[in-house]
Amino acid sequence: MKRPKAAFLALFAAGALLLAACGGGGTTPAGDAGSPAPGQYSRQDTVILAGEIGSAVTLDPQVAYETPSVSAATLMYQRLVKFPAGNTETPVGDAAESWDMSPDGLHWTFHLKKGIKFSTGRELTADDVVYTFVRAVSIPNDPAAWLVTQLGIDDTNVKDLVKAVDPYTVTIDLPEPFSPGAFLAVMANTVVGIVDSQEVQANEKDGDFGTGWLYNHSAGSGPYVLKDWTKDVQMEFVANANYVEGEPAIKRVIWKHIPEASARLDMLRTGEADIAENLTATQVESVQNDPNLKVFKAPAFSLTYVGMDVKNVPCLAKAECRNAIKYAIDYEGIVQKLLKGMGAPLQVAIPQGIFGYSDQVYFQRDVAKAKEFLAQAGYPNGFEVELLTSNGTVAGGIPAGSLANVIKANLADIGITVNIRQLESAQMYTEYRAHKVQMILAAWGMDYPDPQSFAAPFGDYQQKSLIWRLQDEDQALSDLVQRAAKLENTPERAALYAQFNDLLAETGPFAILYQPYEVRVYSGKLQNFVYDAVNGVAYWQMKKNP
Amino acid sequence: MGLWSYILRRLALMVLVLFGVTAITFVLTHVVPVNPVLALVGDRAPQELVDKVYRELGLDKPLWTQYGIYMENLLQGNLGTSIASQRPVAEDLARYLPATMELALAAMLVAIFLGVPAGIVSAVYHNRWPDHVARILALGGVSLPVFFVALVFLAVFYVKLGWMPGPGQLSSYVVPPPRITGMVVLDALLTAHWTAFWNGLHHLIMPASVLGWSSAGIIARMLRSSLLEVLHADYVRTARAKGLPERTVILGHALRNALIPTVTVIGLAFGGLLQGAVLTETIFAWPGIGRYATLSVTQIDVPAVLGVTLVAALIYSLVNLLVDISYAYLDPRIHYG
Repeated sequence: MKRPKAAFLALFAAGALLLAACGGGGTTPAGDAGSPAPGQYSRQDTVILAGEIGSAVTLDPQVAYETPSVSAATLMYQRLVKFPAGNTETPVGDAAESWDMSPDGLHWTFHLKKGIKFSTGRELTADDVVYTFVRAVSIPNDPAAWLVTQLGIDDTNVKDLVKAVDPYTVTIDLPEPFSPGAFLAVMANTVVGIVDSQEVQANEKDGDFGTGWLYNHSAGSGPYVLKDWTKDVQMEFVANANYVEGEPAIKRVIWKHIPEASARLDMLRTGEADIAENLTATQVESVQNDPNLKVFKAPAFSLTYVGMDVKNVPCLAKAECRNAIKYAIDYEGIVQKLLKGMGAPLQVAIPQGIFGYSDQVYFQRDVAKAKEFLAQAGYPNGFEVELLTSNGTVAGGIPAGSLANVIKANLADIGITVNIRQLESAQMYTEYRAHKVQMILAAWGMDYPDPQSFAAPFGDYQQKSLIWRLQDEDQALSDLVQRAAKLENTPERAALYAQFNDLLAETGPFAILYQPYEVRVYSGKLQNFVYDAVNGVAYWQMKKNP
Repeated sequence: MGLWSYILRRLALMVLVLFGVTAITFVLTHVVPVNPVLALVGDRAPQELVDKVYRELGLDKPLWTQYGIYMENLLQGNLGTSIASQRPVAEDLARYLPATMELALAAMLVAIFLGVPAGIVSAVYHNRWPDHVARILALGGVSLPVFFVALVFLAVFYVKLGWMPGPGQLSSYVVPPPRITGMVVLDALLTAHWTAFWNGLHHLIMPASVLGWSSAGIIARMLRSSLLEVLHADYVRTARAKGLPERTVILGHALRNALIPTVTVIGLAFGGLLQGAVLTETIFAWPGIGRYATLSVTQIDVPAVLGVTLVAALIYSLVNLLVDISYAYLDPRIHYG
């Protein structure tokens, strides 16, 4: 009678120990590089990122618009100009040696460097640049195309406006004036990342401009070449031996898609990954004392703000009422307690690192003053208002709901009752664009590093962007933005943005809360680690110690 | 013969069910007042672009026209194009489904391997210490949230002990096997890529255990209670009176009769596995359909949501059919006709 029962127990025990048995018997320790097969790269030559790259739709540079695909295109394609790693104010030549602008800002001439070779071995010439512009404005359903079409270049006129004068000279004619600073910033964007026209045309199918092929192949002259992309798993890049600035020391870059932040940190801790991105404020804090890990912080080109609709809520129509809210918010508390160093104070619409930025502190929490303003607006006892926000995180890696609750508590102190409503971001933006919000807590990021990318949405209602969504048709702000747009980064332009910043703070429908930092945590083995918000991590100038 | 006509009848009914599922999902996804184009082009895109893409995707047409177009395409085997990924939904499903099936099947194995012995031990050692241990484990499986267990397992077995590989299906240095079924371990086995096979298997253990544990708990509890009931039945007393060894009494006479409710629960648990897969896949970076479903829902990617719902409904219906058929094998007294 005893033995069969013992057998059951043994069976149970065997089942329970299944995991341990398999695990303990495993032959490959986690994170081990193994020995590379001939022709492959070793772990020493490789940098692995534990990242969030799942949103990438395509790696075609002219169509890439999501953060991971734009970062990938930055590795693979040269543009006419670029911002050097760590410097986001002054563009330098990339494929172009030099460039000239006509006095009226309408005619641009780019002189190409000679001897640039694509990874395919062909030479980069003016014809490739022209073809790239044609692709940028002609591919249907292209979310990035507007960056170029806003210049007045579209599929009907591109061949007249962008021309190859000789193999090393490209001219671009603008049909209407466009901010020269913003124009160069667009020229540095991957939407005009130069493709090998012959290679792409050879892979064209049914007039698709080769988008089907460039979806997961590369044909550029940048520091890296795409080796493989398994969507939602990983992207693998290898060094481009033909890169004009020299083959990168890091021969292989692998980006893994790890959706869970703590798993990304786990991979960094075991050494399976060398870099982790998008960690939470608490996680970054937890690695500060780890001797094997380093933290790199750079200002992100984005900002978080509270927008106030000036028509949907009677009180908010008055500048005094909006100022009451601006004085009620505890900006310092948000940066210190909530962001824990993942963001910096910012009260203007142009963030640090962009021309026109100001560190001016217009508002500090002052409950008495806020109440005074509220009384001036005719609402001494406050009012009730709905604050709309997303149910995800806001810039800086904190939950939108937590931040909204701080705002709610701050405004309660001056008698304003805030009802928070959280939606999926696509749903939130649908209501925002339809002028259906009362107050909104959201973030804004840039498309190209020029003040126009911020001043226009926040100040010029004619752009039909943020200030227009809040139904504020402020002519004075709009005029300032349009005047500043026409200038290069001169003292005159700086003066206009200073005026713009003051006026927006005084009367605008925004309470700007902070500028988040982008943080990368990386292995101490990596040398020359540089990250900036335009180029991402500069893998091409990185080195790795054994 | 009776069984086959039963299966055919059930399959015909399944078509009706799937038709209903598409109609309900389609209406539900359109009740939400949201412009899916914003999920595609982002908040910064100008309104003209948003409107243009909206028209190009046919979203400006009346709801019933859109549904008509969808059904017409569906009947021709075309699931449409995902708004978010800009790829055919069928292609997306073919990419994500195998990873989830691989995970769910492995988790099912873990669940049965743990749950059935635990249930038997519990019943045989009723109210003695092996029963208590098994019941505590079962309770843990049922009540501990999957994401919590997953994070703890990663921290312990991957970071601290280093016994287990980290997130993902394969290590970075392993060349994936050629794609046949899409299930990495199976493909590696079929094509004799042994490095990929062992590495893939190793990667599979932890997510499958996390996911399987919760189902194991349900199976163990169900089997325990039904076995306890059966052990008091007359035929078990008769078997013992005949002097049969206890082993034969329990495994031969009692277990088979206690299995019917357990098999039902296993079928239901499989549905639960597909649900649990959403969180497990996120934490273990498993490129499966659970994550695809979550993303599609948050982006209001209607064609993708419909595709996922259809596939989930299909799998669930098939598993239930399989469960019903298995009754006939477990209990010869059950006939279909």
